[in-house]
Amino acid sequence: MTSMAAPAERAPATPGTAQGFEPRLVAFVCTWCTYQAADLAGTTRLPYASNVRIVRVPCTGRLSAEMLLHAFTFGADGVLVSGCHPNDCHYASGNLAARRRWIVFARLLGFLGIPQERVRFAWVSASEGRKWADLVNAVVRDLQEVGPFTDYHHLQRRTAAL
Amino acid sequence: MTTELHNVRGAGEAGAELAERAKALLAGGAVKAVLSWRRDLTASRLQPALFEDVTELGDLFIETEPGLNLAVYLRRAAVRGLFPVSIVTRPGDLRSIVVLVQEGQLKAEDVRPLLFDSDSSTILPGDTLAELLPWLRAHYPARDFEDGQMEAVTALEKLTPAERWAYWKDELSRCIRCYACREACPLCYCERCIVDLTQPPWLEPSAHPRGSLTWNLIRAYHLAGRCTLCGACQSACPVDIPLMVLNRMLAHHVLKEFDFAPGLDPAGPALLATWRREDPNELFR
Amino acid sequence: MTELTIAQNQLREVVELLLGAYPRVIAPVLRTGGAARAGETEFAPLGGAEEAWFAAINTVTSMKECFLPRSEELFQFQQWNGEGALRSHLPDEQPTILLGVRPCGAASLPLLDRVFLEEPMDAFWACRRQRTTVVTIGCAQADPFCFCTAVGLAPDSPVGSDVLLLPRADGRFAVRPLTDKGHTVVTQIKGLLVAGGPAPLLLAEVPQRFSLAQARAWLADHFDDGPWETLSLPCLGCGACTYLCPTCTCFDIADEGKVSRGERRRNWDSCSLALFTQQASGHNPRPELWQRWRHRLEHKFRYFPERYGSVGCTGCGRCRRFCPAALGVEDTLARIARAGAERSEAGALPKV
Repeated sequence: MTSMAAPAERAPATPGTAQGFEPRLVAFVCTWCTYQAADLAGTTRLPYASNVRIVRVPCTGRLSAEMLLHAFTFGADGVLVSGCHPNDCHYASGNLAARRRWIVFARLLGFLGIPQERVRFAWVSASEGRKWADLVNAVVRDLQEVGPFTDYHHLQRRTAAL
Repeated sequence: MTTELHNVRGAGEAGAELAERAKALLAGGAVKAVLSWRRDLTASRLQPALFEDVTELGDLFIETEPGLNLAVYLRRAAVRGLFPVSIVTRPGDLRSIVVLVQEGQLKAEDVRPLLFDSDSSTILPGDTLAELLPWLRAHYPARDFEDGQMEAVTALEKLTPAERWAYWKDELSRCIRCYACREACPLCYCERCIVDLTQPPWLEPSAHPRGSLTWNLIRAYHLAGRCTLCGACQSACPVDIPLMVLNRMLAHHVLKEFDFAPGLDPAGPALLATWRREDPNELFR
Repeated sequence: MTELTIAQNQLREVVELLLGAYPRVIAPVLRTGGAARAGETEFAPLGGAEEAWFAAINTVTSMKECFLPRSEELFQFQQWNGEGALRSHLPDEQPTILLGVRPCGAASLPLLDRVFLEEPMDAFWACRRQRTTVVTIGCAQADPFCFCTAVGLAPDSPVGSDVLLLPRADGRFAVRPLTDKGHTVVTQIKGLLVAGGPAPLLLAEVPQRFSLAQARAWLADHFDDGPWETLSLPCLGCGACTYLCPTCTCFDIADEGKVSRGERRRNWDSCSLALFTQQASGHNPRPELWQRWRHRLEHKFRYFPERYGSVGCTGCGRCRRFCPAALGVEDTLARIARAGAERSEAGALPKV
């Protein structure tokens, strides 16, 4: 590990962005479709927001709700889950199992008052490099609107103790 | 938190009839024990009791407020060693037993339930799952969502997200992480709960508002499509968190979205272990 | 013989005076929120005198949280490339009044001081203790779950209090400063004090439902062969009783955050929970619920007195009042005391 300064709390603002706030987006993507799409976006030099940190899993069916919450706990302002289109899952039906799970989870988050901009879902196939780039840009734009998720991050500081 | 004395039923007809039915099962050898309630030390509350001896069965008491779900004791080794047992239930409790059978935690022949319906104040005929299921199916899940049950949920849904967040932030930050909700729930039977997995820690164990909000969120989510709204969790909570609002919201959601209600078919599918091609797709871009 | 008194309906004025003189006044407030039941109270720092509510027999959660929070940051750490920094802050030293504790709450403090102030001293506990003056209000009412008298206390016990307000039959409180801190507080309210003639105290009746001596003798004799499975059957193995208990202090240390930055916290923990004694080797000396319930009783009524000279319980009754299964230590104590009294001639184990 090369010597470097300790990581700053927030990355410096990209010149030109409206509010100067750079959201942190964690994207959980499946190996066989969306990760390939992200790769394609890269090799075809499609520019898209660098706010996204990609976590690659074999299939969206592998993801559990705790993983998304873990991302929030560690500073994510938004989370994106993307995998193969229904009927195209590399493992036949992993994404279909995931779909039901996310419908329920998203409903619960909405009921608690978490803006839906913070947890997004998509199907992006391996050939949809442009879709991936557009998707990330759109999600990041929406997150810039809703702002940092300090509502959740800073909850830790306000302990209920006396 | 305290069950007032007026909730203690048993001196009246229902208690006597319940005792007769339980005695018949025990004396006849159909069961080796009866799980029911008895008065506590100062006759102020009801506590669970396991009767193995017919002579100990006086009038049985029935908890008419949600209170404890006795099904939670069916996983206790001392009780399992006495299967089959009779168990006094209310509809939410009995449905949770059906979910346990659905999930392979119990066999239908392990229990001979006695079902008390507080709406009609009667003990239903029948003492096997097969005999009692038709009644359950006739009345549920409709009863879960009628008569003002959904008021709190609907009121919250009318608020803005920011208002809802303020509400839940306050409510859930009272949590002291005692896990009474979890231990009172018959469907929280994981040998090691996700909150106790520390390598890596998925949930923060601390009772600060963020840790507590996440814990309660995850527990509600892990019960989605499984919770039968028995109310034991909220009743057990020493800091009065309105857990049933979360549970009822999710139960209503899975009914509307997936036409799914747990605890009515011991051979039925589990909500999140199954899927349909026609499941809604609006959430996905 | 006169004593200082105030009218019982002057408590609001007492609170106002104290709020003017002290940066922090903690008193019982009514619970609000989704599923709160009418009349339930808990301790909270007051924003205004009108928030205080003294009519409940006792608060649901105990005053323990004023000294040992449910979750507390011990220090923050940061490290990068071999260099690190630790930041630790003790609680503030703002003089604090804890008003409206019952004798069963105040009496827990000297017990907990033994645990936290003996070497190595716990600086966090010491700081909160030092800044706080305990103003206790004796009990005119009890409920069926109170059992202070069975453990050597009473509705007018002064143990652990700096000031004791005792309800008199004439509708006044006797005001008794017991320590230097107490005298300082009483000075703040001297405008309200009236010298009162002798009057009988109007204290709650708290019947002794069991003999502590018999229960303790049984505990000493029947660690191995007691019917612990039967006694513990209702127990769910949650932490509710331990967290509400004013004399329970067990805690867990948890590191949260990541390797480069995070914090170490002290959180309430409970010997009732299954993983409390789980060891890194994978062994757990108390894997069964009945073992944990046995431990709870033995710890409070045998180990604690052996080490510290008094039982680790003040009879507040919260464990039984709020246990989801209506168990609580008194349930077991009463049963084993009865069994202890009925020793059969053959020495057979009496039924509990």
